[in-house]
Amino acid sequence: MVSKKSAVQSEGSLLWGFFTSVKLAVVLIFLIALACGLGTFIVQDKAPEEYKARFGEGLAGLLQLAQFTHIFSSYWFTLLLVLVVANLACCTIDRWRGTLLQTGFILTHISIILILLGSIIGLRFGQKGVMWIAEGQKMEQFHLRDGTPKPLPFEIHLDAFITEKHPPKYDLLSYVKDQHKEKSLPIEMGRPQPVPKSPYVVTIKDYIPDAALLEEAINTSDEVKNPAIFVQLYGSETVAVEGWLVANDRNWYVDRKRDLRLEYRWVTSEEELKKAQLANPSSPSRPKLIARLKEKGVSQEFQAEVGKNFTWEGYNLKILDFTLDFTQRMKPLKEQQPNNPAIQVEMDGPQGKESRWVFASYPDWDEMHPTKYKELKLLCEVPQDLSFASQQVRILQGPNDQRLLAYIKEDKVVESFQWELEKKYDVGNSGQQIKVSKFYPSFGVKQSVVKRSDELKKPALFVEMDGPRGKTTDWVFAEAPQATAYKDGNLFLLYKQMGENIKDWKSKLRIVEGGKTVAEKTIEVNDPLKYGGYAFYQASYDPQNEKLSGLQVARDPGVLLVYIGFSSLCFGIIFIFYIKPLLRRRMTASDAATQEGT
Amino acid sequence: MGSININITLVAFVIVSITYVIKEVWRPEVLRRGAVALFVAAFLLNTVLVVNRWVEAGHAPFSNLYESLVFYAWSVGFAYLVLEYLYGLRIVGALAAVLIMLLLLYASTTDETIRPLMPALQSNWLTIHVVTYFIGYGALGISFITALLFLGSWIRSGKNSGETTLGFEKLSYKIVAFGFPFLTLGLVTGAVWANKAWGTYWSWDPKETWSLITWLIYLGYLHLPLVLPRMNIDRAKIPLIQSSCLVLAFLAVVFTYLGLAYLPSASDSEHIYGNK
Ligand code: HEM
Repeated sequence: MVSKKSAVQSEGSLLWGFFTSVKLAVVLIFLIALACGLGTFIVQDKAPEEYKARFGEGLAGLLQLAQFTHIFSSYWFTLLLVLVVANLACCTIDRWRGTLLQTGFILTHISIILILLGSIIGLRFGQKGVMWIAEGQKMEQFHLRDGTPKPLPFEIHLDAFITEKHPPKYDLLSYVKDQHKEKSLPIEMGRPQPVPKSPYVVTIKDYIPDAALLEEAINTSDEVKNPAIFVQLYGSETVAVEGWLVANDRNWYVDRKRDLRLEYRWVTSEEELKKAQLANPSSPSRPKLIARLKEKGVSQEFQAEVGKNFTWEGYNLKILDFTLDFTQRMKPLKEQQPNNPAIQVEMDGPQGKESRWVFASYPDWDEMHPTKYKELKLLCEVPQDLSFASQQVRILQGPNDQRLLAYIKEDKVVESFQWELEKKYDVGNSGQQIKVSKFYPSFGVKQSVVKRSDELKKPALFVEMDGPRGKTTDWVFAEAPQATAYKDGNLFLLYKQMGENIKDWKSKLRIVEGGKTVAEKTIEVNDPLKYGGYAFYQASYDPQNEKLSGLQVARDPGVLLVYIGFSSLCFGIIFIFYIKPLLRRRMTASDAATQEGT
Repeated sequence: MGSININITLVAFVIVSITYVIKEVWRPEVLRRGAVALFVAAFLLNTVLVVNRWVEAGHAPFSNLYESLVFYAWSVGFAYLVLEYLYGLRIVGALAAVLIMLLLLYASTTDETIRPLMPALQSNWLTIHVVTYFIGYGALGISFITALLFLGSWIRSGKNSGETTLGFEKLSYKIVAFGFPFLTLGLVTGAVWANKAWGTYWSWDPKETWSLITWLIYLGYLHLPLVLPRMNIDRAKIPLIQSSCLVLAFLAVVFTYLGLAYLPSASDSEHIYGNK
């Protein structure tokens, strides 16, 4: 393979000898490989501060000076590539024989020149950037990587943006607490799955693609342990609302539309019964304002009634307003839902007057906003059952079949009488009726899992867990807020949606030039729209806004040359290593044949 | 299903490598053809593993570490069988079987859950890109074995390399000559795919950069025979330098494939297998 010395070389040009040598090629090849390696061990193209933090002031400065922080755009790396091109060009010219066997050698070597040339053209004359475009919108510019806007010579319209999703896939994850080990278990019906390196075995016994947890009220005993009644409120003839009131639990219901509050109480003595029917016997809880002086370590509670004044620790506090829902505070209180209760307080102190809203759900809100009285912390507490209903129905019950129903309007007992099960009673003269249809002395809830449909919506698995404390079974719901635990509190199961759920994004793009549609295409990932030297790629989407499509915009006049280089490289290499040996063999065979012939 | 099959395939390759060793050491007549036949059988088991996975997942099976390890094991087997047919590799088969075994063993410890593909990975270019790359990697894995065999016997024969050791160096060159075009196709199709998906054929991403580094080292290796004989070095050292270059080159392959997650620039990369 050693070539004859060419005419030019024999003239003795040292430079030509240098540039035609394979030694230079090998040195360059390994140097470039080394430079590339450096470029991955030193994170590239970051802010100077980042290098200082990583390497210290001195070393960072040195790296920057040697352009090791942006190797691939550095002068010395570019010089290496220029040398490669010169080396390739010279050696190819030098060894040019124009024989068939040299096809591969020439193609591969020229291909590298073409690829490098194409990429330089791309870098010099091309543009790359991004464009965020909303469905129905049109754009006439995009932004380069560094943020500078670039105009487009046409309009681009996004007529539709579609996100296609895979049907969700769910994994059963086991978590063993004392090992901090998470492992996904195969979902196979009936086959015991040992959790690796643990004493547990999990078996899936049943699967429902769309499960619902049904809760059913039951009576567990005839003894009075947890009394509850089922109450129905009738509009005209039909039941308007119904539900359970549990004396020791959720024992009230407020109907804002009907301006009515229902309450159920279990009383244990005659005396209590009498007291309970009176208006405000234990006045329904009111919102409270709590003032606190952190430095002094003192705090004080106040009943937050609008218009009231309190003097405390040198401040004068006045309750200006109260709302159950800050954004709805212009409406009458009765119509507000308790979404965001707040109290408005006026503070008068050494630095003059100031007023402040205090939110029950956001106790730190005031600290994040400027205020004169930083040291004065205000909190408010609004009870859950706070109601401003003007009518109340109190259903009272006691051990010896004592039953009393009291109807209270505007804080006065209008009437009270003995009630019986299954009987309708008028609620004052509001046109509504009330009925207690069930009484459970020991109210309980039985949970059962039912199938809602065959569609994959909210899947659940029925699993058996076996371990040191024996077998247990339980339902594991997809995306349940809490993991299902085994008895010993060490094994947990979670049923979670896994993996990338996006199947594809599609943007229906239209290009308009001079008011006319000149190109149209629905692009998707891996299938761009090309027009006028620009290409638009589907790159991403905004998870917060499903109507916003992220496009990559590229204008690369060098890409054709690069692709020609790629093809020539591939063909050249295939020629050198697969075709040339075959040709050689055939040639030597025919050589031998001709020699035999002579 | 998968875990049972992978274990069977693993055991099959253990048997294969033992058979190769017996064949080389005692040379019983029955094993003259038998060893390769056994290799073919084990390779078919591996093929079933790949095809099954392909059907089950509904996409080409190299979207996560598990799938790619099983497919790489297959590629090594494929390259070995082709090269065995072309050049008669003999004892190299034992080490090829061991390499496959190690790959399958590694695969069996990784998460084999099938997950949907992210949109950019749903491309025919990707399939071509990965298949060509892995066949290339498979052949280069075998050239790594022959380079090791050369170095091993060079050390044993007390630096005075005989004809047998030189045989391994010549074989290494032929194997690289078979694998390098695949590596090149892999590199080029990767660039074409990136251009189709993101509008850039090259972005100096760590994975891309390391594929280029690997390619450059093999390219350098291929040019070495044109340079070394004309230089002022001991003739006997030449195959030593070339074999060392091959070992280095394959370490670069392994690093490109599995090691990138340890790079400081890994978090910026789009295509590094997460090491969960
Ligand atoms: C840095 C620039 C390069 C230079 C200066 C160079 C130089 C050479 C020279 C002088 C030969 C000997 C040809 C002969 O004896 O007829 C050669 C062979 C070869 N070059 Fe390069 N080369 C370079 C880069 C490349 C690249 C980038 C590739 C691959 C894509 C490549 C692939 C080959 C191959 C495969 C051979 C062997 C050809 C054969 O055996 O017929 N070279 N190179």
